[in-house]
Amino acid sequence: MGYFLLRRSVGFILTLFAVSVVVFAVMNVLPGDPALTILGLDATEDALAALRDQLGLNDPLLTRYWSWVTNALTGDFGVSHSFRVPVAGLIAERLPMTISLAVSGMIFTVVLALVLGIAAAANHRKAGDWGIMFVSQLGIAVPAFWLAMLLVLVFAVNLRWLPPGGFPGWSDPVAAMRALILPTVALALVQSSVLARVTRSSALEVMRQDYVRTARASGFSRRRVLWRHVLPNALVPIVTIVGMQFAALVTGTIVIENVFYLPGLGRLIFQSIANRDLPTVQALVMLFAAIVVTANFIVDLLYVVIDPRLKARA
Amino acid sequence: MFELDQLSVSFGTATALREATLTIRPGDRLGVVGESGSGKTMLGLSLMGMAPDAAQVTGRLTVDGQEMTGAGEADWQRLRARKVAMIFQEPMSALNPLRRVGDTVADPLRIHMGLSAAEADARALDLFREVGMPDPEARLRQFPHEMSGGQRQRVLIALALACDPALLIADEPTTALDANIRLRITDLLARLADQRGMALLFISHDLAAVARATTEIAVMYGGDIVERGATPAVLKDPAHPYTRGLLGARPDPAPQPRRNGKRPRLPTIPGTVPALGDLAPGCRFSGRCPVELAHCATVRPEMRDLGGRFAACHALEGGA
Repeated sequence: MGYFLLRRSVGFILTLFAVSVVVFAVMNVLPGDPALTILGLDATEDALAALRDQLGLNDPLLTRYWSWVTNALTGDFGVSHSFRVPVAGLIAERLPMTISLAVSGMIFTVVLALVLGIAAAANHRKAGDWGIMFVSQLGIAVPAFWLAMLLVLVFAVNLRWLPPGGFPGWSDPVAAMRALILPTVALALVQSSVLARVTRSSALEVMRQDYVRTARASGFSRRRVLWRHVLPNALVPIVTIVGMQFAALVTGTIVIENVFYLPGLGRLIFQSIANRDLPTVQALVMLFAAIVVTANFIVDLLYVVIDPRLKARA
Repeated sequence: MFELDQLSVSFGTATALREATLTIRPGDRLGVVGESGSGKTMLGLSLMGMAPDAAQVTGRLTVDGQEMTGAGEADWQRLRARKVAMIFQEPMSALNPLRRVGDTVADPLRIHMGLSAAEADARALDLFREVGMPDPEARLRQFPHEMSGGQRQRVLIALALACDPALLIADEPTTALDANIRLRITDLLARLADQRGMALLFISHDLAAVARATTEIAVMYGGDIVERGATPAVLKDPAHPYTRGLLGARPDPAPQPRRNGKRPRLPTIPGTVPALGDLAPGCRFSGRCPVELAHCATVRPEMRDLGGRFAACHALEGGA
């Protein structure tokens, strides 16, 4: 187990290093001049050159990479070109919004998918199964941005049950949760539909196993057999998909935060790309990559928690 | 007391169990023998209310006078573990791989008997001792993959005994085990049934095991019970031609020496067990039977009394 953690931690660091190289390289070969974006088309050549020098854009690539990485390790991601404030502060302000949205999306995905997937498996080849499979097929096919607009139209504009966008902050938890409902559904419905199908097929596989028959022979109710014996044994493929879906949810916030005017990282990355705000984009892409790599790391740990047989091999 | 009256289990036109009539009283030790596909397992599953969803079950089944024919899943759940318990052929895959075996045994005690977690754990330890588990305290905390096949089968026996059932069904309990463990598990089951006054339905194709563990025997072929009686009497002097064939097909434990570099062929019953849908409407054994009569394939033979034992065969008519 100790060796497993060590190996995984080294892999974690190497992955982030590789990501940082790619992010830096891509950002620096992209066309577009940050100095021109900042000063505008009317800027004189002298002013542009001075600003490039001030931003460090004339230094050799390796020097720039090294100073970026070492500063980033101390929490200094540079100053945003467009907002003219430290990138770290920009991110800190917006992180709670995006974390709130991603976590609520994850909870929505997992709860809905497990309930529907297990219900479909329990009613295999009956109306309930077909109904759930049909709805999940629809859920997969509908694009998130379109679903978001539809939800706003129905629940915010016509029925006026929920706010159409914006986020009031967590000082008023009820208002915050109400503001999160529509974005969460729009963000997570696709993932939930995918996961429900994975849950169903994994559960059906497990339901054929001898130990499920043993559980039934022990006089347990169908519900107990499904949730206490079938589901835990069906979890390994489910957790694998959940790990990948968390990445999809985090990146999915870019679209959803823009549709719902939520002040989060997704909106920030969108604005920063439009403004050629290199330091901000670099920091955000690194952050998203770190979140994804961390999610996979947690999934690897979960395998061992779920299945004692893997402990010996880990 | 378990009473089966003309109990049949069929899948469309295929009959897995045909009009089985049988009474199991407290303390009975009944062996059920027959080839694969003879309906042995279906008989056991029917007594647990666990026949597959697709099966049509007809006839009557009562448990202590309670009518269980057509009973719902909830009614059967009340009987399972507490009235009738079953252990299955494959101990390697019959235990939840994610649960410690002690918890697996303690679960029904907590859920059905209302024991606290500590009481259930203590009871699980007692059960482990009763089934002869080596080093029982340590075993309780182990996972199935850390145990041998024989140990896992002991866990499953302890699980089946947990709620003190009136009937224990053991479906091929030794088939998947090493030869040296088979005898011990067989004797364990017989001893437990004896000590607890529990009825035992011992399903096996291992005639030696059935001879050791049971006092009564039922021979099955193609979904029919074809012969029934005291175990020693039936094994010593089989009446039904199928039982005779089955006994004749046992491999000789001391085979004759090779002759001309060839071993003598193992004795077999000619032909193969027909598919369930292709069975003759009369005697299921017709087509493979050495003493077959003209009407055997079309007319079903009645179970006839041969003086305390029973066999269903037209060739026995006239008091053979």
